[in-house]
Parts: sequence; structure tokens; C-alpha cells
Amino acid sequence: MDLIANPSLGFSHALEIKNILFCFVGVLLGTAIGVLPGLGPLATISMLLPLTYALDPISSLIMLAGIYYGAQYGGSTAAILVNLPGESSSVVTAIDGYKMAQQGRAGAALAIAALASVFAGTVSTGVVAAFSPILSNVASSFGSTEYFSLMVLGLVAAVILAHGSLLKAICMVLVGLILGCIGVDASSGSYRFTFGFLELSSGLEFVALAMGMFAFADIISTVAEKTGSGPAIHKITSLWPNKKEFDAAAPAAVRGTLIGSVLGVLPGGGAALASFAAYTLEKRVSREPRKFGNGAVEGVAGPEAANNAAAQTSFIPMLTLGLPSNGVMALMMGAMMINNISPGPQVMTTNPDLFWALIASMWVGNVLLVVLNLPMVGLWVKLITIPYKVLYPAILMFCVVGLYSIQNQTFEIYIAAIFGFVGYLLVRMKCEPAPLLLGFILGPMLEENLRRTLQLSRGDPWIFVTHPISAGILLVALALLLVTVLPQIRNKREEVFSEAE
Amino acid sequence: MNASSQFSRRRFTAVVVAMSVAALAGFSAPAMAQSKYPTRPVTIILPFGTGGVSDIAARLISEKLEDSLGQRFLVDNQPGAGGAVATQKAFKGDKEGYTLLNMGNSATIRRTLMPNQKPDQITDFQPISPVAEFGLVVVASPQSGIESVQDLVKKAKANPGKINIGSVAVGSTQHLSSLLFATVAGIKVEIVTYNSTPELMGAVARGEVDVALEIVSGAMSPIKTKQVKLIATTRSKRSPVYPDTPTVEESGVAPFDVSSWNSYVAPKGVPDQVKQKLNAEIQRIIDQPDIREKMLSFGMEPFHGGPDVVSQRIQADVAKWESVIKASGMPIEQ
Repeated sequence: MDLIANPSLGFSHALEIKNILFCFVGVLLGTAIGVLPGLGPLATISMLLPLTYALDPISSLIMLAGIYYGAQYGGSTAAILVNLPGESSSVVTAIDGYKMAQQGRAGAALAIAALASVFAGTVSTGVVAAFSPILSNVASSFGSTEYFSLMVLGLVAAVILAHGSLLKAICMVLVGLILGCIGVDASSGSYRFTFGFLELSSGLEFVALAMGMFAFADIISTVAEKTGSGPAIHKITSLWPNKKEFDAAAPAAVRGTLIGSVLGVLPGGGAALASFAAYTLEKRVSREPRKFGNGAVEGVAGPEAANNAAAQTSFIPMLTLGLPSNGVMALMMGAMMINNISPGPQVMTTNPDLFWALIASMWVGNVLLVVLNLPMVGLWVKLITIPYKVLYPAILMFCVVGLYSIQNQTFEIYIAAIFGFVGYLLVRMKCEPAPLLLGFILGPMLEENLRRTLQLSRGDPWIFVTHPISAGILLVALALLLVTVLPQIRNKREEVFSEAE
Repeated sequence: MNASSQFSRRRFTAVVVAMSVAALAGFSAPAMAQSKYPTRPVTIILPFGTGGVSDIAARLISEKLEDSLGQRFLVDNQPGAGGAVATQKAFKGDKEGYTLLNMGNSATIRRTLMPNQKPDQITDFQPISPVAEFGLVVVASPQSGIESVQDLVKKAKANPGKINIGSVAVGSTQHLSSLLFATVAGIKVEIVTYNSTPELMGAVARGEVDVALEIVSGAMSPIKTKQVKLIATTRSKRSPVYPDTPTVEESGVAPFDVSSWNSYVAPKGVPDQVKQKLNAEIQRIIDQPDIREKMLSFGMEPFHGGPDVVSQRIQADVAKWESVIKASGMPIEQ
């Protein structure tokens, strides 16, 4: 009975004109900031956090949530059309989406991304509503030991995901791990590699690093290679995918939704990891892996479905346990606390209206996003016809505004500038920045969980194998690694990538 | 005609009066400026990001200050580098009382951990007013079977080195309080650090660590939902949030009086009148029923007194944490 009563309570709030309006504002803002590289949901939500003092909690949370999942939609547009992932979760979408655009299938790629996102959004809304208690149990049973193993798996996946030379990919992951060491060491409190910069004591800012490596580096290489002309504009012949594309995209979207829903629930997982994982999965299950990196429809549909699903299911641990799985969720918790609601399992019983209204609004928001995205794809395309000399300074400006807004400091802008140059060099050396970023994100978590686990086991490393879940995850990682490194498969892999280039 | 000349004479008088008032005002400008404080927006710099309880408290108070003093009180979040970013920004601010810095207990810890950090919140700033004080709680994991501080001490003595106490970052109030607790209780434990309060509370709930010391606000929700068990509060007097829970001292581990606090400080040179005005206003605001109730709802108690109370508290806490840090052998940044 609750299965009907609860969602209908939610919809009764979410469908109030006022809340539909706030939901619309949220997803519109989210799409816009998703399209624009630089401004992320984290920066936008923190900028809008003061608004929640004035609004009632339901409306403000609906709007803030809309920004987050709306950004997943918008992020793919920029990734497909200009190869500038607006969000870290759209990085993999750019690989095949941009290739599709170069092949004249920009419209189809955009439509597939939007449809896969809508599908994932709708399904994961149902997942949040139905499986909140069950899924949060899964996540809450994970301790430091399991997290360490999960991070190992993530790093192995980062290597497999990379194009080209396996050795270069491993090197990039290692560079990422080293960059992740910067800042205060959590176990002793001493400063590592800060070179006297106070700003570095809490580590390199991820947004600055990512923005430098992707947005800045890309602008440098474009300017270096082309002179005067605008960005490669790919004619949009049809907004609709053809039957072949649709048939390939549909199962990929289903798989992406599943993997995204699971990974979104895990703390530290979230949208970015989900899209990486979905891309790897698509490459694995595909009968023609050589298509990947070369305009594979599945490489757009899978990750796009996954990041949207993960963006929504990452609300589960925050709403049911009071554990934020990422920075955005931490801000959402802050917004709830401003309104005197302490996040945790009791929210479902003490504030059922808020809990279910938020979930219902996610579905409403997904419908709004279709209306907002598909007909307006033409408008986003117009954004791309703006010549380089206008567009790139504008992108740089938005990036700089976004960078400054992270901590109200110019330091992040310098960091992004430095990594813009580094990123450009890496591109010239055919080293991919994506494994570096993943190493950077997962490295600190890997280290903390490793040291914590060993502290808890009083120095006994066998704990990773004697804990069944941890052992299982490590086995999967080992299997993946073997599959990639085995000479026979390795040769085949390199063959695939050399053909792709 | 007649009316018109009368009018112009009146206008002339008005102009003269206005001019002399203006001259007078100009003449006594410094005195006027102080009693009129604030004449332009005031910035309160916070060494942490938006959303936390101290941020919420600062925003509640700044709103009230705006109402009563008639100027904008801007809250400026400057997180990073354990407060050093905010400290630097505040230090560069003006010395007329238009730049305030939220100073917390952590500054008294950094005094020992990073003795050479400049500018220093203690020596380069002057206290304006105490704001809020918040105790810590000792929570135990439901799996540990620990129901009280007595249980904890008994268990730790029976199994030396086996008990895990969870804490957030090394060098935090929570971490040093855990060290102090172990020392005073005379037990040998392992202190395991976590990145954030939610992670720490999750670890206690799962039973990964046996107990944890955490600021009240961070533990309220898991205590309420019985994910963790509240076994003691850390101040000498009982917590107004949990009046039925014994203190650590009542449970036999004494002396143990630990709490964290927030005070507003400013770069040295703020005129006395401005200092007194701000202090009086803030003290009035933290006792207003609505503010008091809101702050209590996230575990914050009003911190009463003048600037001297802050100075005394700083001295006492620097001495307390210095002895804990020196005894623990933690690395000191030179």
C-alpha cells in the first residue's frame, strides 16, 4: 500500500505549480552549466545555497537537485559538439560522441544522449523510490577494507579504458596518484608536496586540474593546429537516430542504467565513475570493440545513461543514511540542515513529504529535461556556430569565473593554467589525461582506506583477502588485469586501437 | 513678492544651518565615525565552506546584526589550508571593525602544531566577542557492547591496544580529545582517523571502530536513529542537548573538560568603542530566544562574555592542547 501512497504523496507536492517552476529553474540552470565547461553543479549549487534560507525546504531541494541531474544532460551536449566535456562525467561521452559528430551524426548523438538520459532518469527514479532501503544496506556494509579493493578495481578499469599504449596509460594513472598525494596527509597531519603554498594544503583542486587538462589544453591545441577558422562544425542532417543506431543504443542504455544505479549508491562513486565503468562495460560486451573511439553509438548511450542514473541514485545514501557520496550531496545535506532537517534514515519518517517530493520531482525534472533538451538541441548547436575568436574567450571566461568561485581565490585559476599547458604537452605525446584524472580521484581514497584498514588489522595485509566482499572485488580486478595484459589479447587490443586511430 | 522673499530667506536659513551641521560633522569626524559604526558593510570571514553548523550560526547572527545595526553583514566563506586562507584574507582587511574573522578552537591547536604560521590568529588578531560553544559527545558502536565510559575503560584495560577510537583529521579537536581521553583514563588504544564526520559515524555504526569522539552536531542524527550509542558528553557540566547523559568526568575519567568554540576576532587596531558595540550586540543576539533555540538544535550553546573571556579561553586551550600534542609526539611543522 505504501508503494502507492508514498509516491502519490510525493507527486502531490512535486506537481504544485510553485515546485514545478523551481524544478524547471533547476534543470534549466543545470543544463546551461552542464553545457558550459567550467561551471559545474558543485560551484552552482554552492552559489545558490544562500537562496535556501529564503525558500521552503522542499522547493529549494527540488531546485538544487535539478541542477545536479540537469547538468548530466547538458554536459553531454558540449562533449559531443565541441569535445569539451562540461562535466567530469561527460569525459567518456566525448570519445565517441565527438567522433559521431565528425562523421555527420551530431544530431543523432545528441538525441541518443538525451533519450538514454531520460530513460535512465526515469528508471533510476523508480529505483530510488523502490530500493532505497535495500541499496543503502549494501553501501553501509562496506568498510575501509572493501573500499580499498573497490579503488583498486577502479584504477585497473582506468588503465583498460585508455586508448593506445598500455604503458602510457599506466604511467598516467601513476602521475595521477602522485598528484593525489599533494596536501595534508590524513594519517599524520604532515604536509606533502605543498611547496610552501597554503592553498595546496587541502590538495590540488579537482575542478582546476580537470578544467586545465581538458578545457584549457583543448583550446591551446585547437589554436595551435588551426588558425582563424571556427570549431569544426558538423552539419546536423537529422536529429533522429536511424534504426540501426537506435537498436544499438537501446540495450546499451539499459546496461548503463543498471551499472549507474549501482555505482551511484557507493560513496565516492557517483556520476563520473559510473560513466567510465559503463564505457568499459560497453567495450567489453560489444561484438565489434573496434568501433569504440571511432563513433560507437553504444559509447554514447551507455555512459550517458549511467551518469544520469548515478546522479540520481547517489541521493540514496544521503537521504537514507545521511552519508553524502560526493561533494554535491554534501551541499544538499547542508541545504537540509539550513532548514533544520538533519539528514539520516529518520527523514523518511519525520519528513516523508520532503523525501517523496524530492523523488517525485526527479521524475518531473526528467520530463522537463526532454522538453528542454530535444527541441532545443538546435539552440545548443547555434552556440557552436559562434566563431572561435568569440567562443573560446567566452569559454575561458566562464572557466575562470567557475574556478574563482570554487574558493573565491585566484590560485585555482593559476593551477588550471599550468595544467592546461601540461595537458597540451600530454596530448602532443599521445598520453591520455583521463586515466590521470581517475588516478588523481581514486588515489587519495585508495591510500586512506589502505592505511586505515592496516591500522584496524594491526598491520595484517591478509585482511583484504579474508573479507569475502573485498576478496571478490580484488578477484574481478585481477581477472580484468590478466585479460588486458595476456600477450594474445594485448596484441589484439593494440591492433584494435591502432586501427581506430 | 512678499511670500517669495520670505521663502528665499527661509531657504537661506536652511542652507546655512545645513552647512554648519555639515561643518560640525566634518570637524568631529573620527568620533562620529566610531559611534556611528557601522557606516558601510561589514564582512565576517569564515574559515570553512557553506552548509556546516558554524556557517549556519554565523549567517543567523549576521542577519540579526543587519537588523539591529542597519548595515549589511556579509558572510564570506574562505575554506582551505586549515583556516590559513581565511586568516590571511582577514589580516589584509581593515582594522576599523569592518573585517571580522570567525576564530575557532582549532587556532589554539595550530599554535603548537604550526608555530611559525603567519599571520597568527592569536598574536596578530584581537578578540571582539565570544559567540558559541559546543561540547563533544562520546559515542559507541552498537556491536561493541560498550554502554558507558566505565565499560569502555574496563574493556580497554582488559585488552590493551585492542580498542579502536575513531576520529576525524589528525590535529582536530576530536583527535586531540581522543588522545587526552586515553591519557586521562590511562588506557592504550588505537586512534583511527577518517576524512569526514559522516564517514566516521558510518564507521561507528558498522562497528569498524568501537567508539568515537565527535562534535555534538555531527553525531545528533546517528544518535537519534540509534545507529550509534551515546555514552557521555565531554564538558564538566551536562550538555543542554543531552541533559540525561552523564559527563566523562561523572563517569570517572577526570579531569576532562573539553569543548570547541567560535569567537569573532579582528585584525589588531579596532577602536574600543567599536569593539564594545559589536560585543554587546552579539551577546544580546545569542541570547535571543529564536537564535538560542536554533543554535541549541544543532548542539551550539551561547558563549557569554567580553573580549577578555576569549583571551582567557585561548590561553587555557593553548596550554591544554600543547601538553597533549607534546606528549603524543605528533609532527610539528616548522
